Amino acid sequence: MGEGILRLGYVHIRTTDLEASRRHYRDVMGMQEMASHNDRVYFKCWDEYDHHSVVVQQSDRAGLEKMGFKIHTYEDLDALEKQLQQHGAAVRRFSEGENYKVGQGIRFEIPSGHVMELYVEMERVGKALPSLNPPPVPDGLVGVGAPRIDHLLITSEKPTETIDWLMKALNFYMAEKVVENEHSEAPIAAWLFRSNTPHDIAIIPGPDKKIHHFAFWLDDWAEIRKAGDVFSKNDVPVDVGPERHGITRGQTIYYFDPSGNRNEVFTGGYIAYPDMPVVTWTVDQLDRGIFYFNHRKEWIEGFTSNVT
Amino acid sequence: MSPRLAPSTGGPRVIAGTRGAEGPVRVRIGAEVVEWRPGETLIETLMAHYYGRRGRGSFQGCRRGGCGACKLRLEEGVVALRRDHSRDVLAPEERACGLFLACRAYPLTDLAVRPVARRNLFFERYGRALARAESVSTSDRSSPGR
Ligand code: FES
Ligand SMILES: [Fe+2]
Repeated sequence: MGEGILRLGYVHIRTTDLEASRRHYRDVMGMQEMASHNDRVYFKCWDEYDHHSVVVQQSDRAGLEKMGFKIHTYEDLDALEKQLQQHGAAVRRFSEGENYKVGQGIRFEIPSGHVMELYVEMERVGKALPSLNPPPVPDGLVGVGAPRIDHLLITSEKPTETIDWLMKALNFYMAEKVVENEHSEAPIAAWLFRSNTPHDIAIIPGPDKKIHHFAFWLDDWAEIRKAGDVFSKNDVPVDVGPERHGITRGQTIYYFDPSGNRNEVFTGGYIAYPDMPVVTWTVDQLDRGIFYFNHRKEWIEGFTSNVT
Repeated sequence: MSPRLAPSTGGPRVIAGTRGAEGPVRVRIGAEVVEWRPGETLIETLMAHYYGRRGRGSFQGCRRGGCGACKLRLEEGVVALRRDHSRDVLAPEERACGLFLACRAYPLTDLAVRPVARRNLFFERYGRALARAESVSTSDRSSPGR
């Protein structure tokens, strides 16, 4: 077996207004529109080299259609397929091209009902920079100019089970968790990783099948400020921020796309290693864990309850 | 100022549409009346003149038809509701019963509306640990998006 899951590869979301979403991801986020056909538009960020990382699909609902994780080798695909089946997943194979520009892979539901896909290959189109003696940034970035997607956060009616399953069936590592009090072990929320960041996926309590947000990486705190300028200028509805997370130590702005899917621009955090001690938060400190600069001790209820 | 439309007759109605009345209308919500002006969605009016004021919490929804935090019950009047909202948070049957999303709606007449209580799973499960307090009444849930 190789190394299993490499990273979050794509987020496939639904929109109730495809043209408005096209403008948002292209002109505000500064993604490159890679293809557009039927009811879907495919986007990638400038520092990404596979064909796309965000797929937006016209629908009469908002929310997450599915998420794709890229894995290392075809041997990993076979091994993970068996492991998933041992953990009760109904795994279906999909063939090359069934997902536009994506090779063969497997599709299954995780215990919270979210659809996940694993794949090994996607057509490589290269970064917006050359591989030989590149400059650090490309010319002509638009809007926020996000270099890549970073992670997503989903909700689960049985978060403890979903977290445990993701760790056992897909070998996710835990960076941080929330427990009810200092005597409890069972995570009611967790930040899990396979790459080297504090989270590739996170799980909080909430309705099954829903997405709380997916995030774009930005290079530093000043870029977060610049993103805020772009959001205000373009009347993008900001949810919370700029803020600092206690959990993951990230810095952030949360905002909504044109059909109400929450996005985030995120930077900071630390390098996560599989042998790192898990960071634990108790629920009574969660206001600071979520927003560290929140000295009013305000519980931003809409932030935890509003999902698509 | 353009003339205000006459108050509607025939009961509350949510109809499909992308624009509201041609002049300002009055919107009654709870014990207050706010003025809506052409060009605004109804949630923009409520955020500027109702939520975050006089002891009420701020409005925290998406303002883009996705989350359902702005759901209102129409008690009087006619509103135009845009199509670009998620059927997960406003099903066609709900719309037929007079529910609508303020962030996707424009009044066509004077209105009376009432916020709709929503569930918050996070709070239902962990509210006690979060607040170290128990509520004595669950009937007083008068504002949405909180
Ligand atoms: S505020 Fe989210 S649906 Fe209106
Ligand atoms: Fe995040």
